[in-house]
Amino acid sequence: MFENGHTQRIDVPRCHVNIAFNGSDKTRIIYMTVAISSKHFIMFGSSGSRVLNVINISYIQSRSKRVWVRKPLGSPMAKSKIFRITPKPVLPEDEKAEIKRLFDNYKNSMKSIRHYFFEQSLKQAESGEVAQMKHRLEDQEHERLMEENRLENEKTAMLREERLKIQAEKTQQNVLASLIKKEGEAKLHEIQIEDFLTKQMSTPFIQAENIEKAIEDALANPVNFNFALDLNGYVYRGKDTSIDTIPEEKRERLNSN
Amino acid sequence: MPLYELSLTLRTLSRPELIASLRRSAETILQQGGVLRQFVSLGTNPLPFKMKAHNIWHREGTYFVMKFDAPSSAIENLNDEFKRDIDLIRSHVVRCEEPVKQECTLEEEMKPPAYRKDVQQLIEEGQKVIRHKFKQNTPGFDFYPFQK
Repeated sequence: MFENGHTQRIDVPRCHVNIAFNGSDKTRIIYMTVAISSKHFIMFGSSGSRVLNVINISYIQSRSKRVWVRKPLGSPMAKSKIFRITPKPVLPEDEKAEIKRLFDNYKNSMKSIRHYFFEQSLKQAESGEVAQMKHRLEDQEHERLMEENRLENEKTAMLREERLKIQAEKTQQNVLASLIKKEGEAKLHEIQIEDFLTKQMSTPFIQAENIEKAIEDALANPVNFNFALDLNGYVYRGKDTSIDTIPEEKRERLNSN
Repeated sequence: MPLYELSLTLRTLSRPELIASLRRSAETILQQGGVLRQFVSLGTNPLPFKMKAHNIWHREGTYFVMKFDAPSSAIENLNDEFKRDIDLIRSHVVRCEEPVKQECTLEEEMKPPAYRKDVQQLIEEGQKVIRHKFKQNTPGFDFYPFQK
């Protein structure tokens, strides 16, 4: 098969096979990818990332006759055909219109026929024995489900009524309790206010007419807040009071509040 | 209306002048919507240090205390009035609060430390063994969020 190195013959149709063989340079190993099928017989050689020569063997021996098979995808255009421009097929206008008309006619008629048959099939499906049976069954099922739904609704309604009744009772009780509490609080508040007022009224206050008299009284009785304490708990009022001048019986005792 | 206490330090005046001055201060309190409660005189005493008021140096003053109820908004006006009164050396308004009720614990405090209740409590606390508990460094979680 191959000119250089070892050759290996593989009889496996319709599959890709990797064949390793030694090239002319004995240190290098070249991998050949061979695509084998009944029609294609194309080979690529590669060593690392470098693509080697494309070996185009696009002919198959078949009954002593070489048959042309497609060129590989990467192979370029033939040199002799590079600058050839194939002329576009030109159709005359009327011909074009005629073709379009015919095609449209065909398309429309086919569409209408398809539509007609579709409608027909639908109608048949509706009016047939099986379809009617199906309809009946469906209706029965629907009625059954509706009945079930009604029963369920009644049940839940009953439950809801009970629940709402209990809830209403509870809220009534709560409201009553809160009202009673509020009343009690208001009473307590009133009592507190009265207490405060009586306390305020009980402490004497000086009226505008009595100011002069009150001042004179105060001036007549000057107060001295200084006092001394001893370890026995006796209090000695005044700043310059001598302890010895007061006999023990007359001494004041500290009152803890 | 909270209860306030006004302490006045007046310059030495003759008695009728003193009464007139005190009356003036009392009337300003009434004008501001206050109610007078009590007057207390502390006599004429030497000042703790010489004070200057209205460009005059004073070494002696008459101490006087007025207790009154007044709206708290009136206090600023009162202070302003008293500041401009030339008979007054010093004036100060303080709010009176209910005295804090405290029990005398002197007897307990005079005991030797071993017999005091609070010391005994401290000893008890000190004898408790505090076992070290491992603290996970996971603030806000009561479980270890990572795989163990």
